[in-house]
Amino acid sequence: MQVNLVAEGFRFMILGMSSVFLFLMLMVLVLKIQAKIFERFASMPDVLPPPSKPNQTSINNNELVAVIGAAINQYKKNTRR
Amino acid sequence: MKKILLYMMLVAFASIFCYADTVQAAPSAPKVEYKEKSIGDLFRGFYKTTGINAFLNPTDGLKDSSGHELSKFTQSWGRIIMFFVCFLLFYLAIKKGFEPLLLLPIGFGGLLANIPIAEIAGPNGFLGIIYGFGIESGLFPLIIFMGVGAMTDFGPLLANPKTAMLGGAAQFGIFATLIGALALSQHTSIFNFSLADAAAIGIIGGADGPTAIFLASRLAPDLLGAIAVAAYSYMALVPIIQPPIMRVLTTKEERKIRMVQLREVSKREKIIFPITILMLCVLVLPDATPLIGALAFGNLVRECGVVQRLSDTMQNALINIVTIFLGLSVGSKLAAEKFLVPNTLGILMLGLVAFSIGTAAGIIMAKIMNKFSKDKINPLIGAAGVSAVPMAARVANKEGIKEDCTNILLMHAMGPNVSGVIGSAVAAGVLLSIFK
Repeated sequence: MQVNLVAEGFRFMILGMSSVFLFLMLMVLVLKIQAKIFERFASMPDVLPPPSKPNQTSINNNELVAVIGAAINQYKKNTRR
Repeated sequence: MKKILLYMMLVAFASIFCYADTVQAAPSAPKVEYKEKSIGDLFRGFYKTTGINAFLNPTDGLKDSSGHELSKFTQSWGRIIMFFVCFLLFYLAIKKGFEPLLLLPIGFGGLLANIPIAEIAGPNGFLGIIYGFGIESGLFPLIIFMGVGAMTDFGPLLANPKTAMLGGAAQFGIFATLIGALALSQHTSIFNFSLADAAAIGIIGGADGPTAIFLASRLAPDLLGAIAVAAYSYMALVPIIQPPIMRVLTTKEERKIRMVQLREVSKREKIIFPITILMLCVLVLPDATPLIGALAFGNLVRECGVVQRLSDTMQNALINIVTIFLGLSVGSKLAAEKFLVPNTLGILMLGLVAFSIGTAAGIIMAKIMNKFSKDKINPLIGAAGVSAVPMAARVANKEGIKEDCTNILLMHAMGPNVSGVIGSAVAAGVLLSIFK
C-alpha cells in the first residue's frame, strides 16, 4: 500500500512540535521552581571561587620598583663616598 | 650463567623476527613479473594515470570505491563543475567571510573528493577514513556540541526561562520543511525523498550544524554533503535572510519594546542547570541524550570553575581540531555523483524555506506571548529562536538598535537562542526515535 507521505509528515509535525514544547515547558517549570529554591537559600554563601585581585600584581610591582630604586640610591651614595 | 642468558635472549629475538617475517610475507599478493617496457610504453602508461586523461577519456562502467557505477558525465564534467562549486565556497569563506571556519574545510574536502583516480574520499583514502571514524559513528557532531556547551552561557535563559518557548516555536521550521520535502517528492517526479530523507532535510531549519550532520549521518548519509552545505551556508546568511522577515512581521512599535532588566543568576544555579536539563532529557527523550548530554557536559565543565584546563581545551583546541576534521569529511561527500542530482537543488531550496519559516514562527510566537503576559517581549528576539548561536541573537540586537539606539536586546535574545539549540536537539531526538 502506498503511504500518504504528506499525511505522515503532518503526524510527525504534531508529535515533534508537541514534544519540543512539552520538553521546553517542563524545563521552564523546573527552572522556575529551581530559581525559587535558590532564592530561599540566597543568604548562604555562593560557591564562587574567591575573587581574584587583579591589582595585586601592579601593587607588588610598584613596591618592587620602590625597593629597587631605594637600593640603587643607597648603592650610588655608597660608591660616591 | 650470564652468557647463557644472553644467548637465550638472542635466540628468542631472532626467532621472533623470523616469525614476524613469515607473518608479513604470507598475506602479500604474488608479485607480477616486471616486463621490459619501451620508452613509448612507459610514457603511455604514465599518461593513463594522469588527471588529464581521466577528465578527457571517462571510461564506461567505472565503479567508485563503494561499488556505485559512475556515469561518464560525473567522471569528467561533473568533477569540473564540483571544482567550481568548491571555488565558490572558498570565495564565500575568504572574500565574504561567511562561516569561514567551516566553509573553507568543507570546500577543500570537496575539492579533494573530486580528484580522479586518487580516491581520497574512498574507504582507504584519508578523507574516507576520517569520515568513517568521525561522522558515520556520529562522534564529531557530539564533540562539537561539547565545545558549544563549554562556550555557551545559559545565564540569560535562566534569568528569564519563558523565552525558551520562542526557541521551541522556531523548530516549527523543521517540521514545515519536512512536510514540504514530502509534498515535493509525492507530487513531482523530479525529487525523490523518503520519509527519513525529509526528516534529515527538515533539520536544516533548526539552524544547528552539528545536529543536522548528526541526524543526516543517521537517516540519510547519501544526502549528508548537500544538507551540511545548505545548513552552514544558510547559517552564514542569517544576517541577510532574517532582517526582511523580521521587518515584515513586526510593527515599528513592537520593535521598540523595551524588556525588563534580567535578574542576576547565581553561580550555583548555573552549575545545576546542565544536570537538570540532562535529567529532564533522560526522563522524556533518551534519544536526544547524546546531543544534550554532550552539551550538558561541556557546560558543566565551564560553569563548575574547578577544571579550567578542560574547559579551555573544549572551547579551543578540541573544537578546533574536530572542526577541521568535520569540515574536511563533510566536504568528502561533495563528490560529483552525490551532489549533482536534482535532490540537491531541492535541499538547497527547502533549506532556505526552513530557515525562513523558523524565523517567522519565533516572531509570531513572541507576539502571541505578548497577548497573555504583562512583561512584554520584543518580537525581534523571537527570530533568535533558530539556533545559529550567537549570530541570530546579534541580528535581533542590530534590528532593535536600528529603531531605538538605546534598546540593547542582545542578552534577551541569547535566551531563545540557546533554547533553540536545546529545542533542535530535542526535535532531532524525536525524529531519531521515529525511525528507530
